[in-house]
Amino acid sequence: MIFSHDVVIVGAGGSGLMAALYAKEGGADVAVISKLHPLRSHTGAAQGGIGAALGNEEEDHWLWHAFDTVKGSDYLGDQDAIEIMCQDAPRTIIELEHYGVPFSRNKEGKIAQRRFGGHTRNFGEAPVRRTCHAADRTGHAILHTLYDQCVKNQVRFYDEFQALDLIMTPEGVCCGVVAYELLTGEIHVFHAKMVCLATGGYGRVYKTTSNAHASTGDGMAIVLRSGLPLEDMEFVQFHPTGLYRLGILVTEGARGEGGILINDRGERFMERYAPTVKDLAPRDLVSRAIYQEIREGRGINGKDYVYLDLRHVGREVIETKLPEIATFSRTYLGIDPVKEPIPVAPTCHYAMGGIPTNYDGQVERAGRGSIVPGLYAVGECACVSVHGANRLGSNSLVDLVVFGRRAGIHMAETLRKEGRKKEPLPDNPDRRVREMLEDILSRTQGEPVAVVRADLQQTMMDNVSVFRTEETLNTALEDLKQIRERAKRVVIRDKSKRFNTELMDAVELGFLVDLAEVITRSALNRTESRGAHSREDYPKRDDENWLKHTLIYREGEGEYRFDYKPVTITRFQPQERKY
Amino acid sequence: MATQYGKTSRSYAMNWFLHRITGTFLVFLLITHFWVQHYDAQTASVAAQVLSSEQIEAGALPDYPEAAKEAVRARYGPDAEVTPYDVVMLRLADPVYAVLWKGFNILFLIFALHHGFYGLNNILTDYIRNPIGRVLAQTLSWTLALVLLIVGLYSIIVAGWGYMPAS
Amino acid sequence: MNVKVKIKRFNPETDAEPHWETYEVDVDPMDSALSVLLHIKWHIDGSLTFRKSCGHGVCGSDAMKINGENRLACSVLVRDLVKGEGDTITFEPLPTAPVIKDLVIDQSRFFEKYRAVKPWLITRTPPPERERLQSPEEFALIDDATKCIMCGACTHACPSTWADPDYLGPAALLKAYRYTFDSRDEGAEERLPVVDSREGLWKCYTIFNCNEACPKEIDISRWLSALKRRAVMEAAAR
Repeated sequence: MIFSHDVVIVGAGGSGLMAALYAKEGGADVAVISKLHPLRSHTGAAQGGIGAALGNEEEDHWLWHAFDTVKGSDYLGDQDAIEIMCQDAPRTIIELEHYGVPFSRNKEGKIAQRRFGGHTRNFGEAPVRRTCHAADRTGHAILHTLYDQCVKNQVRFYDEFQALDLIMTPEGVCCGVVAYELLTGEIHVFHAKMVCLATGGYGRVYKTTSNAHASTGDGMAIVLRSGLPLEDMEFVQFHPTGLYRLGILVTEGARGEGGILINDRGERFMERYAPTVKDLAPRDLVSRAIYQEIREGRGINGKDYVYLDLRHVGREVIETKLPEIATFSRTYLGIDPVKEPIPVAPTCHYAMGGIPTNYDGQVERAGRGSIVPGLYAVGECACVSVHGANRLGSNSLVDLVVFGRRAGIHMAETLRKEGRKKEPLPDNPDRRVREMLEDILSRTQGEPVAVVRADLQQTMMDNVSVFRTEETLNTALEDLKQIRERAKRVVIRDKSKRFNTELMDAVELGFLVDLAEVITRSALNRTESRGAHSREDYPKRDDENWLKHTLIYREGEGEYRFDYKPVTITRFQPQERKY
Repeated sequence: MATQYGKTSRSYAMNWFLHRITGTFLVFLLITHFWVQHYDAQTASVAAQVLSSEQIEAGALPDYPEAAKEAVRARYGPDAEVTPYDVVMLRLADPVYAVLWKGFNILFLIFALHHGFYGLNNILTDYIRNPIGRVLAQTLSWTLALVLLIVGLYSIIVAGWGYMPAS
Repeated sequence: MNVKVKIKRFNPETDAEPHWETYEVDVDPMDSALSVLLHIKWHIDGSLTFRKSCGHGVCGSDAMKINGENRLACSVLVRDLVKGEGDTITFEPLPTAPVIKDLVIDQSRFFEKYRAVKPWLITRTPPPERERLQSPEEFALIDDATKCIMCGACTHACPSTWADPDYLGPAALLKAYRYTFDSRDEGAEERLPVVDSREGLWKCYTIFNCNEACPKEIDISRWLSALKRRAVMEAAAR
């Protein structure tokens, strides 16, 4: 079937819903397609909070926030975009509050704010209370409220429709997407004047991740396959505190409320790595510190984890400010954080890289100003870039809402001003998808999806996680070469039309392989250490050669081309990064 | 995104509230009823003392309060036997107590009927979902309630008329 | 440990009736029920179908009937489902909703009911420049209700819903409570007529099944009772 809308948004997490809401308010006919019901989106798993210099608890300025973000990004973030985000953050939070987000409150009845990693007062002096939160389920509160607002504004939702391809005209204008309807197994064409990708991250490339099963980076992979570049893919954030072996996130808010990390000797080791902010250092630093402790034999009982100690924080704070993570550790580990420390280890958490966009969400084809008409990207799948080489905690939610909103407004305004017509659909726009699905369904001999996927996740975890060397990266590339061949031959047992999740697993495996390769190649290419990308064979940051964004293009199967884009610097010149 | 659910109708809040109120009152009314009717020796319609099964098999009759015996003998002659029915009727015939007890029973009747039939109607609308069926079932049930109310009121009002002690 | 896993399977494309299938699997007592299902899907039978996403009880995808109770598969561990070696865990779709395939139910009716209660903040006074103030005490009134993840475990555990599928059900009513009791909301006049209706609040007979089913341990019956009191007061004021 062919569906026709002005604006088609792919993905219904925080940024997708925000874009939908504003495009709709701007008068556009908006449809949101999502492979999950919108309320199942991974934004709902964001715990700790959303950063904005509201100054409800103590003096704060957006410029301080901007500086922290720039420094957190290891100077790879584009400062014009960061300024926009930090300046716009307080207003956007207030708007969310007016939409009804149930924020936790301080005694004066204002939105409560707490400390978070890397957020400081007066350009790095000491931690500041900047992170607005709804207990430790801030993402959930925002996601549900935004969905409620979209329902109120009668945004059209296509739930459980999985986008599998972009439709581009020969002139390179995006005019729709091809989507697979899970319920019926039908392939549909969405014909649109504008398409906005909001498909989230790719945490499932790694074995240990805080990300949902759905976080398979679909949008990024689709863009890559359409001949467009991906930016800064070597920067993958590992959150320091995932529940040991499970990877389930324990919010940085736990340290914001006073929790500390301790090693086997009971030592608060972060004092050595970041003397000023200690446990509230940015995530890349803390994750490296934890691995360093483990490598030097100071993991708990010599094993590969450390303790997050909340015992001194007290039952009251744990039950009111961190109830979810208390429940998680009780449910999954049988550990009561009031009485015992929580075993934690780094877990793959966030993709700093993604689809290159400008700060209105327009996708860029090759460097600044070269936009792809009709195509937008927002949220984790996009790379504006505000997070550079390392994202600060509580900056992802603010990225989602600020840039989701901007893209929504920009799409509606462009439609109004230009009165743009829909580009005619090319012939057989769904051919590629049809062939891909028919190919998977026709196979009878081969391995199951899960086996190949597990091998992919294992090699990425072993070779392309927190510490990288040329050797590990090459090992990964060798493995990936074989995995790519195996992935082409996976066999599924379910051949039915109705709700065939196994078929989608096979498709997503293809996406994961592409992304894993792109991440590994970009990591191999960048011969320096910056933010979350830590090359042991190149331990220093190299501003002379590498103060630039990586763009990677797919030229053919297994063939890639690199290009670069300068970093925008406005106020803050690169300095040594110390905490 | 129109929905067929959540259609507004007339408010049922007060019906529900009355159900709570009648429920609460019924607890006290029931306790009073049981106390007066079955336990208190001075007013009880049953015997002042409890008979064993052997005594009942042997044909023994319970002993009633002296006042009851006197009233029954005065009416039916010295050999008349006293039954629980007589005791209740005597109470409802008493010029002072009758007003109190009839009032009490009328309240009891109305509350019990409302409470019971509200509950019955909830069950009916739970299981009968076709609109015509619902109207029919509800009309029938409330008609039944009305009939029971009339029968009940009649019974309470006329009870004891023939028992006025012939002084 | 070895356990038997009994799953109610149904694919309307090929089956006339649902049927049970049993799998024997080796699991860790600390595994979640979702991991058990994933193990079967990934390594034994890829056609087994269920929804899942976050895997730790926040997204609400995998509510289903496990050992006879509505629960989130990812939030319950094997050790709490079996007593010992060789025991059986049963999985069924949530009761009363139409089954799409295996453990996947059609939730459209569930979400229609949610939409019916006007689940958004309704305000009349123009917003202030800064946030609307709300005291911690006022926030505490709705705190518990905002934990809801809309998984549907409660509504599909509610005997009133079993008897009358048109009843709005605990999840939608809890949403109505969450907004009506939000100190910033001014929409009671619009929202209460929806919940104070024949298929609304009054079909809650405080059976407490919702409370028992809720994976977020929300005291649903308590908040619905508060909503009832509020509806009575509004009705009395009219």
